[in-house]
Amino acid sequence: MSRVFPWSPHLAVWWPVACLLACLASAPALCMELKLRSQLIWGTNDPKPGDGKCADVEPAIRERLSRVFKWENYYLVKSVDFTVTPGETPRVRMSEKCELEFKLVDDFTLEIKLFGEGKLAKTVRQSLQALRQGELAVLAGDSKEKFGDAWFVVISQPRK
Amino acid sequence: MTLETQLKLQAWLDGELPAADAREVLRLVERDQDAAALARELKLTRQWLAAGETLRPVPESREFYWAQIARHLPPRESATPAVGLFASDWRRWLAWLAPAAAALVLLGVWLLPRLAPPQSAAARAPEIETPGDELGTFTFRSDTEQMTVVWVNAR
Amino acid sequence: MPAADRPSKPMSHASEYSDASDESLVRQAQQGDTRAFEELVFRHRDKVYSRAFSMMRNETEALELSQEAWIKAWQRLEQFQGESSFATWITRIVINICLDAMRRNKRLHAESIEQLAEESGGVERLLPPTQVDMLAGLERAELRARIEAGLAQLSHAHRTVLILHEFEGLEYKECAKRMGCSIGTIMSRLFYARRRLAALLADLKEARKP
Repeated sequence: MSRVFPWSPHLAVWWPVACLLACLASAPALCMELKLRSQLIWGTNDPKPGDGKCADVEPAIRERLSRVFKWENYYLVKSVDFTVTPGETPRVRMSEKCELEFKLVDDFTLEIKLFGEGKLAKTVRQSLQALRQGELAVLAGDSKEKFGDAWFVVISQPRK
Repeated sequence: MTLETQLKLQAWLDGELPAADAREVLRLVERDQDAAALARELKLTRQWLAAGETLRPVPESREFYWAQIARHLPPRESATPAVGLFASDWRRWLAWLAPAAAALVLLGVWLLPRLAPPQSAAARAPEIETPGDELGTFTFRSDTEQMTVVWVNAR
Repeated sequence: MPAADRPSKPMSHASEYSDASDESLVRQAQQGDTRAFEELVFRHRDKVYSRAFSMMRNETEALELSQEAWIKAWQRLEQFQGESSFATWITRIVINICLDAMRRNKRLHAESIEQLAEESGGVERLLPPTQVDMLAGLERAELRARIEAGLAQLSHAHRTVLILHEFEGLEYKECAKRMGCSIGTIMSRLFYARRRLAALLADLKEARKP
């Protein structure tokens, strides 16, 4: 009997199965693209303006913000759904002064760059696993337009 | 006092001076008020520093921090040779066991993420890493709201 | 086979790792057990990161360099023979990595004004020495916070010499070797750093007065 590594007939059953499972396991990494939603939200104690420029923030996010922050009202200024694929760095314009750039650093990490008036203001890295599990990544700051108000950029994975 | 004398005084306090020089510095401190005052200040500073440092926790979860390290760990050659329970028959066993084990592992890798219950927020921190502070910022996280906030202050 | 040469029995349960001593975990890790190494990382990560941050004063750099230190430690595990504690060993690794990074970025060269100050003995040499323990009565945490605030205002070179000498307990000769300068430079940098720190703490106390 050959003492060399056994390329024997029963392997013909196992190896195709192993290969198929290998393909299934690696499929998410090979085809990874990330669907995201970026929302620009205004935090204020003032009532909603009647000019129609703001909408209501979805209740789930509004409640989470209101439990963390002090403002009474949160209004949606803009919402953008987009996709990030490996190798690309999509830029999303949230307002005249605010842009975001996204990049998949690796299988675990999303990098978000915040640009204010064209200048890089902040770079943040977020765990992809956390995002997939419902985490919100929030960039925020004091409003320059109105003292006491705040702006929030909330990045999340849209629910299917 | 010259700088050289001041440095000798410092070295004396730090225990780095040879015995003969140390005796000379001690005599200086005993007779010279300025030397004594400087020695007191240097001792005070050492005393403050002896309180230790602020221990700063890693601003990432255990899992995330480890993941960044683990990816770069080259395999180590084990010091111990593998001990085979069925050494004489290992080829026969390998014919069945190796591909079966490989298939089971791959099935597990594919299946487990779909079955694992959501981790508690405490075990699964969201890890916002901030690679650079272009502006003043601070970061905080709310476990209960599953939210990490980076507050940007324009200077 | 002598007991010392026998391979350690692999640990099978998570609790075995968390209950094991550092030396035992190192032995396991030396045999390729990454789970043992992960436990070591978990135990000492804050200290290693803290040291990196104290030297680099930048969170991102401190994270990267501390992770680099762990990777280097894995590669050099055979060199750990137990002469010092594992915590001391890994801390020395991260210090060397930070010093290399500072050298690459030329941060160990004293800035020109401060270099002149060192050479001339410094403005602080002319100031009357502080006699009052302005930090007396402070809780340890507050004391550490004040020290931290003062250290943050020193240059990299001066802060590093304080860290190496005061916190790591290295002698002048060892500090000089690690920082790549003469013992005389270490002595004057240390002197300048200590006096500057005392002056900064006096200023901080003034600033905090109502």
